[in-house]
Amino acid sequence: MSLETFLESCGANGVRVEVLRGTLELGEAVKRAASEVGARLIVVDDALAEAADRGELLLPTEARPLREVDLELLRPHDNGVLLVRSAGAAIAEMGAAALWGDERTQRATAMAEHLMVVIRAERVLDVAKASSVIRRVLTESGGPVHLVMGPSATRDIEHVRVLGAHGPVTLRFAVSP
Amino acid sequence: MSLERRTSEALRERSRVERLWWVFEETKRSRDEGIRRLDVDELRLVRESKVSALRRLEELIEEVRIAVERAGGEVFLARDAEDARRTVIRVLKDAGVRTAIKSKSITSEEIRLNEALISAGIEVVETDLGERVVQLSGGRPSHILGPALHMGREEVAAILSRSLGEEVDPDPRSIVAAVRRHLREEMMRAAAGITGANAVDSETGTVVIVTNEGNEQFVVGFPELVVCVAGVEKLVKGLEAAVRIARVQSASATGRMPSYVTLYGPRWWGEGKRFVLVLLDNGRTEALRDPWLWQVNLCVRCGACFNVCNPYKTVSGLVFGGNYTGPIGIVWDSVTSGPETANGYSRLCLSCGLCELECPMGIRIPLLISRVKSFGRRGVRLTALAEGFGFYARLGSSMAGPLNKAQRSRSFRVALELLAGIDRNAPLPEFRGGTLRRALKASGIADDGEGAGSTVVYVPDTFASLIDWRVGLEAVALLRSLGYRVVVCDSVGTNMPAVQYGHLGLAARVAKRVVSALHPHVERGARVVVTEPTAGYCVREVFPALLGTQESEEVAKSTLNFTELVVSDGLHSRFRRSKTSSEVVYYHVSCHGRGTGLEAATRAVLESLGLKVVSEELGCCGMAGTWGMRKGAVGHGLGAEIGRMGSRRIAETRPELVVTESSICALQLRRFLNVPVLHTVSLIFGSVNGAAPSR
Ligand code: SF4
Ligand code: SF4
Repeated sequence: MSLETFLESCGANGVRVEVLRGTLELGEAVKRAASEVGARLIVVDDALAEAADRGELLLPTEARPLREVDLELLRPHDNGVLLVRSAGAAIAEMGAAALWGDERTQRATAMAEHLMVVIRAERVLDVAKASSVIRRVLTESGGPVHLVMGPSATRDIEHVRVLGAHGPVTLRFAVSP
Repeated sequence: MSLERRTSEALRERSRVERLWWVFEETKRSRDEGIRRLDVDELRLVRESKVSALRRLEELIEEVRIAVERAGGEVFLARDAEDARRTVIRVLKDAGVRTAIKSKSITSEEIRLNEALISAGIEVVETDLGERVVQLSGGRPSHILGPALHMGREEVAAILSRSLGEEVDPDPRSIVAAVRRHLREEMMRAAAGITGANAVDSETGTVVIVTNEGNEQFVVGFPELVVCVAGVEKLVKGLEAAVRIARVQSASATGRMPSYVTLYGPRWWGEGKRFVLVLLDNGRTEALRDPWLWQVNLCVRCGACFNVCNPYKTVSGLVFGGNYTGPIGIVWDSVTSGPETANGYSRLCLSCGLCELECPMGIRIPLLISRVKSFGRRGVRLTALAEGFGFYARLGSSMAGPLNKAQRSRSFRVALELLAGIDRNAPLPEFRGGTLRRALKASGIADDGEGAGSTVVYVPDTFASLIDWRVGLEAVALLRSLGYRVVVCDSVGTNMPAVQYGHLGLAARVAKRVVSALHPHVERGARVVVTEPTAGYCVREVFPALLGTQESEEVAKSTLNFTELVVSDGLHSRFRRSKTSSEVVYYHVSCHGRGTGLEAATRAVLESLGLKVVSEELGCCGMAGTWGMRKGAVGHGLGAEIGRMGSRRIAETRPELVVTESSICALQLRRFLNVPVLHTVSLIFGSVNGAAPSR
């Protein structure tokens, strides 16, 4: 399933996607995102931090690896944290990023005020293929797996859309080659 | 409090009615766009996966049990609500849980889980924003997806200010911020999470849940014990099928993808977490054995059927509901709590048939509701009212003058209300006097009989044969002018009220009689034509479902509404308009004409007459045959409010004329509109013959 379908679906979902030409562009994209949402702290998940340590990608110098961050910092909803996470896969027809990983990372994802998900282009799959990848994760490593397609939102009060009902107020994707 | 009283109170809440109509119109608009974007194959795949799962449900239950237990989780099969409540309480108590957080679950509303947990000393905190507000208010949710939709912002702010001990502004943003602050702390300290499920994959035991708020990430991600309570009908084979259900559910709910789909099950990333799956039967497998009700198990709970149900939109789920709410709620309540619960409010359904057209699973909701109504005793009484109206129509045809005059007198209307249950304020038709049969004879129009050329059998409804035969006469004249041979068959009435009020035995007998009368004509190549969409709906949609015979299918296939016949034969261009002014015409599509070819055909005819056609999807006008004439709030009171709301929308389009295929809709719309309201056939007849439109 093509990246094009994924981008179309994200468009329909109203989620902003940046397609990066190279992994080295990620640092700039993260900085841009942080400044646009007014983030006070950039936190990157451990997988991305390790990839940066190996020199496979560039992250802003001020970004802190999640393993070094006390989750208490994320407790208040207006924590000003931009969490940059890597997706295990993405579903093209749904415009969804599939997030899995250890409990700490999953909890941080629920709590961060802003979320940016980095998706490797070759991991954009159709529903059938993504389902079989997710099935493997759920039966071998374990869940939960969250498919994320938008910021946390509610229309419960007089049908007015309010963002940040419980989780991130903003969501954006970056697709890296 | 009685349904009558609750309805009457709900009707007084004008601002709520306005707000709910607006909300559901908005939801429908965005939902329609979203569902159009969805591949039709996707809907087919989901329906097939559900049907196939239901066919081997026992096998799937066993499969999920093995999968979950192998991966270290636990499965319980609960026979009924009591069994499920007991199981959940035992699991939580054994684990020493004092506080549980919960994500929105209609199934837990079905079994009244919260009340049971609280009585057992376990605090339960709803985490969906609307659901939490409802919980703090001490009330019940009014919608399966938007539990607090019935509440205005001021009401919500007042509840929160009281419960949270802080002043909350009546502004949605402030309200959300207040609930979020308070819930985040609750969510992070709870020892157990309770969820429902949109689907459960039997192969892996994975639970799939759709949310927008992201509360599920907390309910599943923070506590050490997570309990899922899911109806057995949620089981499907394979994760792909489960994910597809989530996708279709969201598209059909809001037209958009949700913000989150959470998948979790017996295996956790890391150690120390526990998963318990409580599979609830509670009448579902028994429903599978019912020739109609089994379909309820296909429901993906998207709420699309709620958007078009005018009675629901007007009184809200607080009145139109039991444990469940809305159109399919009637069926769910019957299956899971018994027909008494469902028939506590099923009378609010006026059988417009529109909910069925929205259902992505193709569930024949109105017929299922009729089936539920048939379990009650009211059906017989209410059908008697409808038959009483038939008698009244016959009386009116033979003594039009005195009856028309009497109808204007208050004391006569009071007597009619007492004797026939027709509300004293309900609009009644003016009788023209005589019958269609006599009018045809007087006009020198004899039956053509079958023969060479295209034969149509015209089936006039009660209105066209007894009350105001002009439409029938005009239809026959127009058909003949187009070269059809016309046979008038006025001895068959389709008796929609029998279906509407759940008198299905009588409905089946009528269906049999009508099909036997029409089938010989159809067999000889004739087509059946009607000028009242409800008659067409009965013959095409209801009778085959009631009878299941080849004859009924054949008659159904050969039955057309007037304009459908003319357009399908390419004859509408022959209608020449003798007047030249171009009017703006508002076309009110009657409920039973929706979802058929009628709407497009009538538009084509009106446009070929040079008219500018305006139309909106406003749903039922509130009359629904005799339903809107019935005495009281559940009848005329509610019907009139629906009529008022719909007519206001029509008036906003500033039409010079309103047309509709239904004489009953016309009767209702005339009360609220200041422009002529005509039957489509009369408009065509008048245009062709140069007559000015009149009311
Ligand atoms: S048939 Fe009409 S009135 Fe009855 S539940 Fe469906 S939409 Fe509502
Ligand atoms: S009956 Fe159909 S439309 Fe109504 S909630 Fe269920 S699936 Fe949706």
